[in-house]
Amino acid sequence: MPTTVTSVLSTTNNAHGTGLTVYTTLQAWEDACPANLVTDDKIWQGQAYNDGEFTAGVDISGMTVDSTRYVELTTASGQSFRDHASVQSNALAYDQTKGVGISINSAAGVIRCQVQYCRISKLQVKNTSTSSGAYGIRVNAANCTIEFNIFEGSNTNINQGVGQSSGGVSTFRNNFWVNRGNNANCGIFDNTVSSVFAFNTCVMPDSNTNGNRCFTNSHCSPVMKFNAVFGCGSFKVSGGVGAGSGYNCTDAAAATASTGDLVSKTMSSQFENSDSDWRLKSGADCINMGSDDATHGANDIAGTARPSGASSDAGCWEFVAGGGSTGNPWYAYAQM
Amino acid sequence: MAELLVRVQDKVNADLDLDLQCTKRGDVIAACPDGWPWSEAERTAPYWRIFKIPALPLDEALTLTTPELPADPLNPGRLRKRAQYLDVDAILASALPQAIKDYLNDDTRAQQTFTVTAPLSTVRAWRKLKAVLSVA
Repeated sequence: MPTTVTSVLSTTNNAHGTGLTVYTTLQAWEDACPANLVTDDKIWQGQAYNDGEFTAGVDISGMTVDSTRYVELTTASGQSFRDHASVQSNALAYDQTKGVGISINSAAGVIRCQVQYCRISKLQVKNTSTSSGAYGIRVNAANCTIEFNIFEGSNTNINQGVGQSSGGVSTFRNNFWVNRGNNANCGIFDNTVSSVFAFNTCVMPDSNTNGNRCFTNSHCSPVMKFNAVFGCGSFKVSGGVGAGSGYNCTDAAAATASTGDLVSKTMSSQFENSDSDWRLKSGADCINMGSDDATHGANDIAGTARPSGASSDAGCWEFVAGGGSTGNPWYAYAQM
Repeated sequence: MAELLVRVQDKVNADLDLDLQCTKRGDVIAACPDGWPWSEAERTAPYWRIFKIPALPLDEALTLTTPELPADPLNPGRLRKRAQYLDVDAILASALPQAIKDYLNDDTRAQQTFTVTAPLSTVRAWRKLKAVLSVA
């Protein structure tokens, strides 16, 4: 049974009474990780505190890992936007005042994950660079799980966007992605492998170029299911569609051509504010897609259990009628 | 204007492929503003040193943490964490005061940080670009 080595990540060197080792930068925490977690029999976990915005990214690489001995970057209890007392009414957008945030201007990306089985969760990540390669997160390894995060980027480069997946199949679920960039053929996500994308909300609110796209799939067939994709022009370009895809909702004219996809829907009908708050609103087409997915969709980005209504909603946000907090079944009955 | 957390002992992985991505002697782990509240681990670990360099602009210091960038962003391959490093061995061989050499050589971290008063031109001379790896 591996030992979980938990460290505190605090920009103010505050251990918060935990008695744990503290690192003031994400990279120092990563650099202190043993080179071989398998022989050390450890899980290397960093728990970030919202003592101040992190202004440098992290490159996670060089370790020997396996499925039970891996690296995990997340937030301490109560420190994520997801834990905020007003999570149901806060805008769904990057806001470090609401939880741990990492904001930089970097052509290298904010988080570079080059090691397998890595887990990244509950963070807010922002990259203001418009340079080539300016991703919010690059995952160049297999078997990683990226979930419950907010990613904001401004990448204007062809075939690039806010996230990248290469080097092996990983899972991206219940994340919010926004690309403020606009240029012909830029987008949200670049894939060269058949990763799984489930329950993500992907928007390009400033796009006015038809050539933009959400998923760029270079000779691969990712699984794309229950995603809400708006403002991107095209849902995807090139590549194939993985088995199990479907139940996506988009304003594009086409999605995966799989069961349950809803296309040509209007962005302004979906969100509280199409420019600054991408929580689903009442009456959105994304609500109640007609199916569920317990593997990837048990809980949404805010911690709401799915389904809240008759069935799961597309995207990372599960609409709760009456503005409740945890999808209590009482609220589901109230809307019937 | 800047404080640097610098690796002085190679991190080693027996897997040669993964070892390429481990930080090595001279890699700048972090560049932070003057007065940064370094943690106990950062101030005492034998494999790190902290240099306080008032003459070094933070913007310039941050470029020392720039990672290796892929020639093709869509097919990145294995990338090293840092494209540049500080030549620690050159510092030890130089005519700089013994104090900085003693600091570099002391793994007990009896002195936890070192303030560099050498001219900026001297500090800049420590900076070296890593050779590009040839990929098989």
